[in-house]
Amino acid sequence: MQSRIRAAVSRRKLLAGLVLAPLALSGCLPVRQGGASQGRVVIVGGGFGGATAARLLRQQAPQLDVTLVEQSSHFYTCPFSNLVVAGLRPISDIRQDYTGLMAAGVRHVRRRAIDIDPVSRQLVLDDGSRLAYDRLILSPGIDLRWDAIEGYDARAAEQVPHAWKAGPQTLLLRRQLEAMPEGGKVIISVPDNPYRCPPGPYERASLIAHYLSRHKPRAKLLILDSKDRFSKQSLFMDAWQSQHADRIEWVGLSGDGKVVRVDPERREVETDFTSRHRASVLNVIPPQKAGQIAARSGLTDASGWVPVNPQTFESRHAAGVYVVGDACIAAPMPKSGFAAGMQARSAVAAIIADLTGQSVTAPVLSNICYSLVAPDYAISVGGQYHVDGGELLLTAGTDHLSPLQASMPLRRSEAQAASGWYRATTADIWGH
Amino acid sequence: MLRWVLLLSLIVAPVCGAAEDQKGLRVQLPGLIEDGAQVPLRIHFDAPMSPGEYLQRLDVLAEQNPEPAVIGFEFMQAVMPVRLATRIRLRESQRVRVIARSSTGRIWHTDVDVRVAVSGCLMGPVPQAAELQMHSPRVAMPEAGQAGEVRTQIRHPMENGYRDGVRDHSISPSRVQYLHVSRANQPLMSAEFFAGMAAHPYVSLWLNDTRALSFSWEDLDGRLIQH
Repeated sequence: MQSRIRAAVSRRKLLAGLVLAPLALSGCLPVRQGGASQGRVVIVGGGFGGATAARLLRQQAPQLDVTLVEQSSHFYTCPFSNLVVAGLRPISDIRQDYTGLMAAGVRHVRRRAIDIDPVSRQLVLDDGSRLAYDRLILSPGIDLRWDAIEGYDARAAEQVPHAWKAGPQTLLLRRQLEAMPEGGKVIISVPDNPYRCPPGPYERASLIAHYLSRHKPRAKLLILDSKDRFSKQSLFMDAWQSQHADRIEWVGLSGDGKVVRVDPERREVETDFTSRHRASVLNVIPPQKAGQIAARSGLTDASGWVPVNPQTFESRHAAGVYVVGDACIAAPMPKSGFAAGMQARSAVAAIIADLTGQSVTAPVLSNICYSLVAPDYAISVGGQYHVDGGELLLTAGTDHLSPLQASMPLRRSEAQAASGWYRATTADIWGH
Repeated sequence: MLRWVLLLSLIVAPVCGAAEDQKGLRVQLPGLIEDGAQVPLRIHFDAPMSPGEYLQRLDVLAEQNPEPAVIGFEFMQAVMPVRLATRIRLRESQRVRVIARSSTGRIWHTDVDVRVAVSGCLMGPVPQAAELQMHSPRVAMPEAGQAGEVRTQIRHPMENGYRDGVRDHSISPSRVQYLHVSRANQPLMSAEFFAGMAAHPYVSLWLNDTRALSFSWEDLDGRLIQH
């Protein structure tokens, strides 16, 4: 198991795995002369899924036109944003921009995509203009369900941050932690599955507890969870027990941990069975759904997420439209940045094969989620996936989880591996 | 756009609770379940009834569970419409069936196909079932006897004696067997819990009148806790 972890995180391997290996091209490539385009690929969303797709398309099929539709000039990654919350890194460390992709020949359209016309194969932008595509990749990420918890809407989030999309919300939570009184209480409300980054809330709790132990030693942290079980639970619990025994309290679903109401003025929450908890700093991570354009264009099902063909990540409802990342239904793959990048590769492989006639080997889908429990203490979970009978399944024998009993050097080396993963991946995707 | 998608639908995949509804009986389950140990189930029954007829029984069956019986509701008084929510266990992808029977013997049934995945980020070991006594009963009710949702829960691991779908005879089943709800000392509803009921049994019921309600839970050994 450990060797698998190490293999997965060696930077060299990672680079190869990320960019080159999955798109092993074979057979005769019908290369066009004169640089005429063989097709237009439009990508919506510049996060892990969309930016990976843009990068790979330019590398593997330079004869295709690639347009990235992304309103912002930059992107703050959710991975490593908990380090910013805990004051361990400046937010500039998690800022990525699109200049590298533009230098690689990606056209960046600074607009918000609002709808799809799958008949004429056009993407509708917020200024009413339309972009024609031959293949469309959507990587719109998540939207927060403002109707799920009474009292918690976009306006409430200005007082009570979710910080589940990195950026200003991350900094708001950071500032509130800095300003909280000495003996204050932090409450984190965690939703039921599925949601972005399953272990993320627990990493956040760990790193906030680390901050509190240094700067507000009398402060406490309460996690109110809508689930009874969570990702890497025994590893987190073990670390909390040994490092933050009196600081972190976790209350699961059956202990009445499900938050149903929020009073943002009082920073108070109420649970399913009417317990009330008041916080000095309240962080509500609400239930989520696929990013807006997915629902607007009719690609989502009743769950609010997008059903896709797990082989290619093409929408089950619209031909030529591929949906990757948090927005799609890919369980048992978790909604992670790593998984989004892998799914983007599957979609790109299918699109290149489709548009250019090249024979493309589909990548092996895999995932690794690192979680930092302290700056030099990380744990991980990972696995590979395959498609059988039209369903995505975890491949037996490929799953790994950090051992429960482990030496500090192993935890430290996993923390280094996590940083290495972040550096290498972001450089591959957004770098110059 | 929505219209076009309907026209263009390539594959109709039963991804989200493709319920084969029979008029009057609606069943809601997530189409894709990430953790089969706690699956939220909602049942809504509002079929037209003849005078004096009322919904008497509702049964939930999961055919691919090692024991298909999940939960049965018995109504001793007319409650209309019936809106119930609970949490169940599903071992694998399967068809869940809900059967309703009225006091005159009419039958309704609805099937829902669900897929159970265990997310790769959810591989933690199952927590130990150390505590086999019922404790911490909870009830949440609308204020001042108004109409609304009544939620109930009691803590118990609901040990069904199965491990990986196989009966482990070294483990004795231990569970809460009944939840009884009464109004003004008259029995209103009983829920019977079977092996497919999730740990810490949770039942919510919508009632027009929530005055003078009392609740009791009974385990397999006949112990009672009242609330």
